Amino acid sequence: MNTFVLRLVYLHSHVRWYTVHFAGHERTEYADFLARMGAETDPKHKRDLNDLKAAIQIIGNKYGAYPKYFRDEQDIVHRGEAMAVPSKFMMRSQLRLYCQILSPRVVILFNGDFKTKGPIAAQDCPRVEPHFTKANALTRVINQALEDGEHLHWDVTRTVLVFDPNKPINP
Amino acid sequence: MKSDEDLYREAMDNVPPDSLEFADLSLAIIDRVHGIMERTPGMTQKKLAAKLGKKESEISRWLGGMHNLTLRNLARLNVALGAKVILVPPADAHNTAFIYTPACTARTSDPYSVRGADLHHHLVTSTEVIARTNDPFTVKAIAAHQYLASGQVEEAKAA
Repeated sequence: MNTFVLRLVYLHSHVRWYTVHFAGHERTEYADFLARMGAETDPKHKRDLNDLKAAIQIIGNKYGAYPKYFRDEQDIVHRGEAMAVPSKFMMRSQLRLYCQILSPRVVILFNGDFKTKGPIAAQDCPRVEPHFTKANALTRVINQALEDGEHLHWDVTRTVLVFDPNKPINP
Repeated sequence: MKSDEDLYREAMDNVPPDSLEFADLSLAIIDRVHGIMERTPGMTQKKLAAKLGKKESEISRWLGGMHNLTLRNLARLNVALGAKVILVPPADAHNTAFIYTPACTARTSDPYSVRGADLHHHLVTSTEVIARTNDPFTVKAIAAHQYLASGQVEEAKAA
């Protein structure tokens, strides 16, 4: 996996949202997601994207990042811990934005796409599979970095991630 | 090309009000159903499914989302849980506020839920509802009381 740094995206009253910026990539993962999904012209896709952005806003400003508000997208076989926005409460939405909940106060947003309709696993969908696989791999790397504590660790309140924005957390 | 920061900002600034309302309502219902279950001794998804005569997998989908929660299913859920998942204000309820009792949950200490005019828009539902008023002064007084109870002196003065 390419080296990456973390970037703070939103500082909401209940949640700090971070994202990942891979070395050599023009955009962060979340910005890439927004740019690609923002270009969608299908009205249903536009509405799903708006609902997803609303969910981030409401979770961040009102509820906190508890798993019950997210969709479980863990790759158990490969010990990945990815979740996704939106929750199943927007079950009809095929949109998936993969993420990692590190605590009710801290979430790392990755990338995503519209999943193919029907009973098809994320691993078998050509649109979301790359993002699903990468998200689950990222959760393992981030968990390991937190465990090592050298390039990424919690502050004393355990609500803020501490890292050097210019140094990769997986050198 | 827009910068990453522009994309982040636009993503939050340009959310239509109906999407915000949809997300808020959906999350509130999820929260409410889980809250009722947590406060009901011995209540599990399995027991709830048995009460409703449904498969546990179907109840899991209900609790995971409101995608298929028809009024009929909502009524069944109310009966099975022995509590109202949603309270609909009476017809004359303009400017009416429902407020948690302090004993109910800590949600009342959350300024987002109780701050001034927000009270008119956030129907914080509970079977233990104690405060209901059409009087804006009373609403502000209750908000001030709750701020004081949670040690938020400045917010109490503002309310």
